[in-house]
Amino acid sequence: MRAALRVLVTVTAVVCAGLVLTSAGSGAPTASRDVAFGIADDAWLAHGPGTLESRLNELSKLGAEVVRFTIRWDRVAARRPQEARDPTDSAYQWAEVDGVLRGLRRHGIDPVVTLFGTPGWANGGRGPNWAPTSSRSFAAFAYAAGRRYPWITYWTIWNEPNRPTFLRPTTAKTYVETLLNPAYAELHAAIGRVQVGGGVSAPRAGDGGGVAPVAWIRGMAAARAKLDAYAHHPYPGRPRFETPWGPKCANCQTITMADLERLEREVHRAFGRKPIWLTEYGYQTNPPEVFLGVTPAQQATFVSTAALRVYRSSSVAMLIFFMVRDDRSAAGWQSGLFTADGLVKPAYASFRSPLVQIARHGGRVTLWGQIRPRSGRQPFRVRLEEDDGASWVGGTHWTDANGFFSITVTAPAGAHLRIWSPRDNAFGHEILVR
Amino acid sequence: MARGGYVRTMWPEPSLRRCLTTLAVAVVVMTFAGAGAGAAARPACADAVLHDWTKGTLGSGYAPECYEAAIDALPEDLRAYTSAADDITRAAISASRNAKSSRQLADVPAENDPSAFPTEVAALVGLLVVTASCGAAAALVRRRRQE
Repeated sequence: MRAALRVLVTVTAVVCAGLVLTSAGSGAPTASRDVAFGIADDAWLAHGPGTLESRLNELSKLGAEVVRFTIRWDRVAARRPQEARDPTDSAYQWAEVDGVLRGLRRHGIDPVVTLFGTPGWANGGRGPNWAPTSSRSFAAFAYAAGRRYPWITYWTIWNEPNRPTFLRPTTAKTYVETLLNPAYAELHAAIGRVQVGGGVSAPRAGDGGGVAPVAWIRGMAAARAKLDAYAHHPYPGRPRFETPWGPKCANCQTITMADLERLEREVHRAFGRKPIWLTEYGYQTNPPEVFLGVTPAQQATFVSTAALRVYRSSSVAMLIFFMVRDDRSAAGWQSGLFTADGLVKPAYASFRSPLVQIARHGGRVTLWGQIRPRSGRQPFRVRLEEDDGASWVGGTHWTDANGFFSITVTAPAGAHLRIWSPRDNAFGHEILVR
Repeated sequence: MARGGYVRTMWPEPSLRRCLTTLAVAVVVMTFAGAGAGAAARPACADAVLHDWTKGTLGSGYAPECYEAAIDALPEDLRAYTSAADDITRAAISASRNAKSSRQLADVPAENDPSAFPTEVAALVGLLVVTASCGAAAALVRRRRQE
């Protein structure tokens, strides 16, 4: 009798252990991968409402792992430095940049620095979008910036140089020979573990002498570009009708998120298997953007969907949304997580905790998502919202070490689900089960 | 008789000079009205093109200048980051092809086209009506005088 009891206890213990292990693993996909999600909004970060510290706290609350910030060469070096490679040269004015970059570091957020803007003394008195007359001047500035911030890993060279708004002459050869390759060499000389992103291309040529990204990538390869990653801005071409998944545009020279596979193909063909950084992306909302805007709810959905899109791509290492807070001017950009008046849009919750339905079989729904704030495994629960109340679906689940999860829960079509992060004391964006 | 008296009272007898004066005034008024309508309609139909693009319903039913004006009026963000300029150009080419083929088949304005009955045509029709009225009235007067 005692022996039988011992066997029963042992079997029960084994079964229980098995169930616990199964349950612990249910929230985490077996093969996890890491993608850095972040946000960019230079104007808000440097000069937005509140203090710099309060804005950095907001970015931490959002769970931004990376933040893109531009170092304006023409502002830091408005006067020509005597010793351009020396960051302590008295001509350099780093104060504003120091505050932001050191603040990000203090908050455990990796900056993705963009170097942009030619000072008049370096290009014959022309605007900041004109290339410097000598590649040495920009190379020296890149070295100085690298020496100033040697703890920064991610750097990108210029912004959307395939558009004349940002670079003239607008040719891949000019970009590679005058800006990218000199900066690449000097940043690698200044920083041990650095990754330099090149390209930083806009999704389309626009008009007035721009170059479409496909031609741009090929032109950069022909000019023998040196880079550790290719950076691109895959804004949608028809925001109201284009999700991050489609429709795709066969044989187009443009590259939006819907055509991510084209970007991967072109980059791999041109530069080998380099990672892709998507350093600007977003959907504007209507109101206030009449022509380009989607509804705030659609924006929230696309923020989550885009996250899943890049998570599933083995090439994309980084996705940076633009921007934190809408421009006050209607002529400006309106893809923020906050309105211009500071009201929270639904996209705030979907940035912090993206959630996407990836399958449904009868009443079984498979969800993908992420809890972004903090690092390491995170607990979360799924909540079913109904007209007459709300209820928890299952118990507490855990994300993987990078905050991602993929779980299957019981919920009928038409149900509204959202996730609860107890450590954030906050719900994510609500989704409708289809 | 009563009718004749009434006609005289209400519609004064048209003379050739009066008729020519009326014609000249009509031409001037219609010319200015046409020009004014064109100036006012251009931004309006450009807006309509942009709104149709926004709704995803942009077709080839507008006059070519509407597409051109819409492209000219594109805000910088639409021009640089969206397919608006390409889409509108494509619609304009399609509209131009439609216009050519419809002119070859029959000179009929396209269906559902808000600008398909241009003001120039309206002005021409108006002129024809005025001219015909003047001619008819002059003939009537001449016949009565002969009586």
